[in-house]
Amino acid sequence: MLSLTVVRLASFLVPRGVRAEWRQEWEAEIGWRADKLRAWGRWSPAGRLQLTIRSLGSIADAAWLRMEDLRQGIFADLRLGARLLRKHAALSAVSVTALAAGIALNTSLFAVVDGLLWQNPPVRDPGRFAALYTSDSSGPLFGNSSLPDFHDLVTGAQSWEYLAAFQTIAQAVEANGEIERLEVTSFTGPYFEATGIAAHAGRLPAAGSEVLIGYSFWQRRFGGAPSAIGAGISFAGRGFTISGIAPSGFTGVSLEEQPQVWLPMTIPENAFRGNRRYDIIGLRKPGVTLAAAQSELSVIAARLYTAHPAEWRDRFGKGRSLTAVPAREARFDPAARSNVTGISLFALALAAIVQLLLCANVAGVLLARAQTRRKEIAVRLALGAARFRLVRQLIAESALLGLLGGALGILLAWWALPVLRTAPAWFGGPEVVSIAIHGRAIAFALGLVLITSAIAGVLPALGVFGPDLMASLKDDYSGRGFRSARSRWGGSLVAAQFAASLVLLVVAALLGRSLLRMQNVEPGFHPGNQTVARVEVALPHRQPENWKRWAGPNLERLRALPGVENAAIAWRIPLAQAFPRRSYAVEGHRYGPQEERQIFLQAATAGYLATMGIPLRLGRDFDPAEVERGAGGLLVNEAFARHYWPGQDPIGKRLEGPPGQFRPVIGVFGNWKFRALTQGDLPMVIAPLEHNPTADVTVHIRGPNLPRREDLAAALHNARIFSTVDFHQVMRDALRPARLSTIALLAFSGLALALSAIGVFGVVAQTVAQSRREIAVRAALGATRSDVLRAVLGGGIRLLAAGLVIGLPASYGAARLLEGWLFGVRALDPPSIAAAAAVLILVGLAAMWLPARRAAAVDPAAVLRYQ
Amino acid sequence: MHHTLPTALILQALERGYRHGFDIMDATGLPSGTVYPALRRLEKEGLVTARWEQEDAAHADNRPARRYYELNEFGEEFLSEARGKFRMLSRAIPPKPKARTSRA
Repeated sequence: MLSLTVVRLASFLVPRGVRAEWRQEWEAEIGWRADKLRAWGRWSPAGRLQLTIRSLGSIADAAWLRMEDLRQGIFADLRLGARLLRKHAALSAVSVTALAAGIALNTSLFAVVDGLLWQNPPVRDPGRFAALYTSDSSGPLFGNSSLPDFHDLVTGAQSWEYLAAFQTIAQAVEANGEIERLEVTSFTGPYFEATGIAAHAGRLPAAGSEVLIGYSFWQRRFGGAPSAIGAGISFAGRGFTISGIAPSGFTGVSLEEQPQVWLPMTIPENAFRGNRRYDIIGLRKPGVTLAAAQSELSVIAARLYTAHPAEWRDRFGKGRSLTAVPAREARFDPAARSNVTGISLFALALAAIVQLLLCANVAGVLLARAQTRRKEIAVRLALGAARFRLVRQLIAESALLGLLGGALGILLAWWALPVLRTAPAWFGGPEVVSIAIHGRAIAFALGLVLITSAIAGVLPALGVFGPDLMASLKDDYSGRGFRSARSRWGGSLVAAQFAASLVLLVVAALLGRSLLRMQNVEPGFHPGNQTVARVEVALPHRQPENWKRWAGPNLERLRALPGVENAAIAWRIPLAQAFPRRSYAVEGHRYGPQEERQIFLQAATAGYLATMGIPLRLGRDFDPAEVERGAGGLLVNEAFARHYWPGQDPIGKRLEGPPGQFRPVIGVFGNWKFRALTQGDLPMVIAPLEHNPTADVTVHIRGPNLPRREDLAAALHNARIFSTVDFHQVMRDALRPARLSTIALLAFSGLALALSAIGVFGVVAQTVAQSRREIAVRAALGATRSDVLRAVLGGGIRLLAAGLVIGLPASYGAARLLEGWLFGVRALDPPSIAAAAAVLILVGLAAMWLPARRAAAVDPAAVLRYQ
Repeated sequence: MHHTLPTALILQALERGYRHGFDIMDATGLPSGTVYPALRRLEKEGLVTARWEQEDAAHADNRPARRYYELNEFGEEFLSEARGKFRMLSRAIPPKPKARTSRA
């Protein structure tokens, strides 16, 4: 009968203990009904079909019983697991702490990466929000835009509900009696409508003299007092009124600028089409996709190229493009984003390796503990217990450890949040206030717990159910010899740990050597005996005609200070601030299609080269009198001269800056590191500061006795000092990201090394403990101390060798990924690899040696008598 | 345990004298995939007692022994609560005809 077959098949779902009874119940019912149907004369195909349909209910019945059994079983397993954990409280506590540390590390790192890469900016409708870019002259898509282009976009584009342009500039902001350097965003167009921001208190700025201030600035400067609304605030030499407070957490769209003041822009005079220095944001109309908006932008870009070919042609002779990127990608300059993504994923991968190592150690602990229960497990199996249930028990134990570790880890990560928010800044990135332990991070942590528990539970189970499980039923368990199941499974864990440690050690060694190379880089200037002050020039003196009267007398006063040898004023601090690039055309030079026209520019007064200690190779420095007349030439570095005039005398050659303005080269200076210590020899031009005045300058002072900040402030008239810094500090700061990465990697690899040392110690110690009898027999038969040592150490050394064999290619792979961030060191760096392997071998051997010594000290007479 | 209609119907059928799984299906019209898990749950909750019929009786008929279910006092109490919720419950299932219970 088909119905009976259905019941028989369904019975395999039923828990074994009640299966026979269950089957009898169903078979009796079906048999009874079949008899009845025959008696009633209804044993027809239809009647049989009905009976078969009814028998299908046995599947639901069996499934219900199985689920019920599982539910009760899991609770029982968890209770048993908890009991075992309590029994070995100290060991459990160590395992939980280790897992918690690993999960906290991974979750924190995930939260940081999430905050940097995967979170939306704090706008109301991220789905419709986008950032718009005009491509650069040299090709990259994501450049700034000009105001005339923005206005053409507003009138021409139909896809956007709101479009706004803005510019963010650092300013000295004076409010409530104190001055602070803040980023100030001035915007044109519906900036607040596009971002969907409403004032937290007060209202959004309306007229040209009103500003909105950031929540954190309000808290800091005004203590969160409501009286701040209506209070005065001044910057850029003007007074404004605070009209309202921005919502907490809103610091603009991008992570790279974090403004605390917003105000409507007064359109500057130099807002011509070629002057591209504005960011554009927009909110698409409902229902318009990004792709549709993008195709409209491409049409507008083509139209602008036709109408304004001079401003819209790039240096390859093609039209520039307009590109919209979604909200999430607007948090970073898209060009910087790929770099951040690479570093983030690499860091996450390293943290994952640490987690795997921790996993392996916890698995080792559980395996050791399970080994002590081998006999019990073998007895239970022999008595008919299901293998599956026993495995489940072992996994329940690791699941409990994982859950406890996970909960503690999440708490730790949450507790470390304030540190995490500043973490990207240590590596030269922005401070990210939106970093949080939220849904995604918790899901990530739980995923880790799951994987961790599975690895830490399944491996011991595999080890316990090894082929010689039943052998442990025999009494002679302690004399199983040098190779046991424990060593095999525990051994592969240890070999994997060695391999992972080697990867981390090699990466740490490469970063360390790269850091040393950076420290030994010749910067091309003398950082010693030099201090630099960041200064804001008072407003009336920023005009070119007043500037001359500001710079000259101030420099004279500075040079007259006791202990000062030389002083100069310039735009930017090398290695600390980004240098702008300007377009310079070399007269008579035939440019190739790909050749760069944008040259790094520093603007400085006469005496800058001497103050910085940059050697003048040819020609002369600026002549202040000549500069004051508006005449005078430019200084170029050797890289520039070599590129454009190889084998010629560069002095007297001319460069065209703004179209039609030619300046001669009057001097050539040595190449120097101004962007990064790792940079190559980049062409650079130094122009007279007097021809390029700005509000924000740096004052460089050289001398054996550097003046204090107060003395500097007294000597500098009509200016305000923000900060002073010793040039050695600038150098240290430039190396900080490299130093921090090296320290982090050293810490990671130290941890990994310690974990693998503990692992191999355990394996060898266990081998020694389990082979006391064999050792004793060998010793009794005349084996020497070194024979015994060799036999005991053999297993450990094989694991170490296996770790090296797996770890060497793996570390080369990791190093290849890292290559872009290395300086002066290649991925295949024999000294780094040799050093890492040597450290691993030494630590591994030391960890084996300790337990092995005990084996050599075994007294054969005592052991054999006892056994 | 909740007063669901299937549970109430099964209890009502038991009270009316239907004692075997298949008979309960006939009386209530519920499918087998509902009736059996419900009976297991009722048994686990202690509202219903399950027993095996005497082996002798089964042997006499040349068939395996059947398992039957009976309402106990907790079950009866639960059923009366369920009747408060489902007013038509007592009329939903007719009493079991005498002739067919004799062999159970």
